[in-house]
Amino acid sequence: MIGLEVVFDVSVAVLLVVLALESLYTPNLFTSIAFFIAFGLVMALAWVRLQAPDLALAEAAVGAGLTGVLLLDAAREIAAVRGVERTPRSMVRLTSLLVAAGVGVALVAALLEVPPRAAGLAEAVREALPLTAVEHGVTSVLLDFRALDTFFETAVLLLAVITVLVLQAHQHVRIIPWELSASPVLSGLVGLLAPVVLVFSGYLLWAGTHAPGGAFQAGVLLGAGGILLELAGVHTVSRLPRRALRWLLSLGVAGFALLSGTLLLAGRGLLELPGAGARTIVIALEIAIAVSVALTVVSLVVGSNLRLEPPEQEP
Amino acid sequence: MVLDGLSLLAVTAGVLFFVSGTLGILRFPDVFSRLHALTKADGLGLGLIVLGLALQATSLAVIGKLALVWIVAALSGSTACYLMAHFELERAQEPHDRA
Amino acid sequence: MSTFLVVSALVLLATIGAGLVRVSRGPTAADRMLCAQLFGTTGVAALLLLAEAYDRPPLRDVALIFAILAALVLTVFVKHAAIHRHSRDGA
Repeated sequence: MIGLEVVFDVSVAVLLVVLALESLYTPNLFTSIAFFIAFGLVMALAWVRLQAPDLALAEAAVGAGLTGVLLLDAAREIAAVRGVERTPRSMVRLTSLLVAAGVGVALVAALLEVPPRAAGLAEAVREALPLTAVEHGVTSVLLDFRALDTFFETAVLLLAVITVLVLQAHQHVRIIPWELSASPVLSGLVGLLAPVVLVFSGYLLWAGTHAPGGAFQAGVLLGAGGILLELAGVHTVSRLPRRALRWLLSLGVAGFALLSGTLLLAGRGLLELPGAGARTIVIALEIAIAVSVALTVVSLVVGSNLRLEPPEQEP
Repeated sequence: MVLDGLSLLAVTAGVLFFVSGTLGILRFPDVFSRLHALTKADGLGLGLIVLGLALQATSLAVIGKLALVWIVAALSGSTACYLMAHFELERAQEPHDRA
Repeated sequence: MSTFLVVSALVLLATIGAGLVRVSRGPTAADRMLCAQLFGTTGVAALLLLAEAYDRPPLRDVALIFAILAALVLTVFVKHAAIHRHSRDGA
């Protein structure tokens, strides 16, 4: 008799493939996005079944939620120019097919290299966990063992948001302001949700030290709250002085840079955390990253709505 | 035992609401009736499942979190449906509709 | 009990599969988005069921994130659709 789990897993896998195909091949942009959001949702269920709750959290926040919002935003700009029907160019199609096929072949080749039932690095991480500042394996990898990777990830996010803000400042992207006549029902919802979002993102940040959670998930959630506020006509991020916004956007990268500089000057390795006070440092870094991620998220989505003054006189 | 039975009953009823909501979405003739089907599955289905799970919960914190999930989903679900119905209604009244 | 909960989650997954028909059929954008909304709630319910069945409390956090972000996606959609209509009228 086939186990219940197998039935569940096969259903998830089949649904994922169907959703991916529908999302790629449907001619209407809207339908495509609706399928994509559903894809993110089922993907989160798949991560749950693969026993990766950290990834399920990230997928729920970024894959289904934030990417859906960004795609809707992009579709909004595209629709204003040439309608919602897709007009794929054969060259674009051919190129993306080749790239996808190449990546697919590489992935299968890599998969064949992996020995069956490989334990991976989970055991090594579990053994070294007492040496780190936190009690959750994923967080210890992100902010201790492989802090350099996270440093660069925050830098990539910063680059992305700089690009978007620069393009918008110079009007290379078409800007359609959001309709700001907020409905009273929507304002009511936001008024009730905003405190929940704030508390819950704080909780996720704290949970990251000993359970699934952490800076990126908390940041995205906080950013989602910020977007909701902006959409309901409560301007928080868009009212920030431009200079303050820039500093806060780079807070995560600045924190990492400051830390590695100090450690190098003190004669330690790059990002080699000192034994004493490591926990405080990790938590401070997490807060800095969460703030930067949240503001990045808000800037990416409602950036086009930020009241842009003419470029300031730079000293 | 009694709690288990009640739990089974509530979760089953919740799942049935989701099934009938999906049927409604597939079979109902226009977008307004489909919204109607959606809100039933949304509110009652999730509410009953949360109720069933809360009966199994071992701590007050778990019950609190379950309740929070339901409240957030119910609030956002009903707001979303109101906004969509409002949007569709305005669209239906437009003279040059090209749906 | 946990077998029952997993079966319930499986039934919910099946309703998502069935609902896909409405997403592709439409006809209006609101139809598609209301399906996405239903899928979101269904996913929340499935996650809560799995959290209990496998005794994994973090899944309740995933469910809460889902519920919050569903509200965001829907709000953005309605704003988006309103603007699209506006620009179409202007054309």
